[in-house]
Amino acid sequence: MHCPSCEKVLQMDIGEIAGVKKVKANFKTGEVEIEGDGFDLSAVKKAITQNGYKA
Amino acid sequence: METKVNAGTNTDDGAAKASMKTNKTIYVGGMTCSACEKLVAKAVESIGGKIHSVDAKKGMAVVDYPEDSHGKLKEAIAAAGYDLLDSEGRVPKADPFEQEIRVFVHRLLSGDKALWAERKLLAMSAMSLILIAFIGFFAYLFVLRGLPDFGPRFPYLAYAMLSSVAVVASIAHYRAFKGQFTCMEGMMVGMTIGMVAGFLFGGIIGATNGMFVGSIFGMAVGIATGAYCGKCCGIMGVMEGMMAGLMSGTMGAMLTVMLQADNLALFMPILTGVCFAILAGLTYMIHMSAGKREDGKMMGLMDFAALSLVLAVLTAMLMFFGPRGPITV
Repeated sequence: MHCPSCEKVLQMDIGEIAGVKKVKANFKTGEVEIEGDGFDLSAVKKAITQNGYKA
Repeated sequence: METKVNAGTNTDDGAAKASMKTNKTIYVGGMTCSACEKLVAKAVESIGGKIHSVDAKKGMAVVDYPEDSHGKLKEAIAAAGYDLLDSEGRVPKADPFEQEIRVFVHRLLSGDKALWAERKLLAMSAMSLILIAFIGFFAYLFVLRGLPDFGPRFPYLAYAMLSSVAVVASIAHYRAFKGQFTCMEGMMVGMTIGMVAGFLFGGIIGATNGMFVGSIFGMAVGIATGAYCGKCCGIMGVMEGMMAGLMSGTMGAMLTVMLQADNLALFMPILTGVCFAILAGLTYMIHMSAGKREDGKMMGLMDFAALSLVLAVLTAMLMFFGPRGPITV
C-alpha cells in the first residue's frame, strides 16, 4: 500500500467479507485493522493478495 | 500498466443501451496506481457505465456511459477523489465570474438553504433601515426641522443611515462565522470592513464637520470595526484591521474636505455605491469560504437594529451638534 486509494480499495473489498464490521487501513504504517467476529481470515488474505498487495 | 477490468455485472440496464456513448476515451487526472484505477472503474460503474480499460500512467480510460450523464460521471469521479478532464486532457475552465454571480443571485432569490445567513442579513438590514428612517423622521419633526443647516446636510444624514446598516450587516455576517475563517480570509474580512467603515464615516463627517473631526471619527469607527473583525485570526488580523481603519478614516475625511471645492454632491453617491459594492463582494467571499455552514450564529434582529441605530444616531449627533472645522457643507 502506498497511497490513500490503496486504503480505499482494501477497505471496500475487506468490508464486503461476511462478518466484518469495520475496516481501517493505513497506508503509512501498512496496517489494516479489522473489527468484527466470525469472519474468514483466509478470505481477508485473498482480498489483499487479489488486489496486488501482500498480507 | 493497463488493467483490464471485468464489468460484466451490470446487465440490468438494457433499456438504456440505445443512448450509450460507447468506447469513449476519457481523461482522468490524479490517478497514480492500480488502486486508483479500480476506484475510477467503480465510479464509472456506479452511474451505470461500463469500463473497458483504465490506465493510471496515461491518465486515460475507455468507457461506455449513458449519453445524458456526463455531469453524473464527472460527479462520481470527483467523489472518488479524481478529476474528469476535457476531451484533450486539460483541466476544464471554471465558470466565468459573471455566471458565478448570476447563479449566486438566483440561489439567493430562490430560497437555497445554504444562503440562510445572507437572506437573514438582507431581511434584518431592511427592517433596521425602516426603523432608523422612522426614528429619523420623528427627529426631523421635533428637532432637525428647526436647525438652519438641515437642508444641505440632509443627504449626508441619509448616507449615514445607509452606511450604518451596511457596516453592521457586514459585522453581523463576520460574527456568524468568525471561528471558521482561515488566517488569510480573516485578515481580508477585517481589512475590508475596517477600510469601508472608515471611508464611509470619515467621508460623511469630513464633509459636514471638517477634516479634523472627520479624521478622528473616521479613524475611530474604522479602527474599532477593523480590529474587531480582524480579531478572528489573532494579532495579525487586529493589526491589519487597525491599519485599514487608520488609513481610510483619515483618507475619507481628507477626500471630502478637498472635494468641497469640486463636485462633492456627485462624489458621495459614487463613494457610497463603491463601498457597498465592496461589502457585497465581501459577503460573497464570506459565503464561499465559511458562510455555507449551517451552524453559524447570526445575531438577532434586536441586536442588529440597536447596533445600527447607535451608529446612525452617533453620526447624526456629531453631524448636527458636534464641533465644526473651517470648511464644511
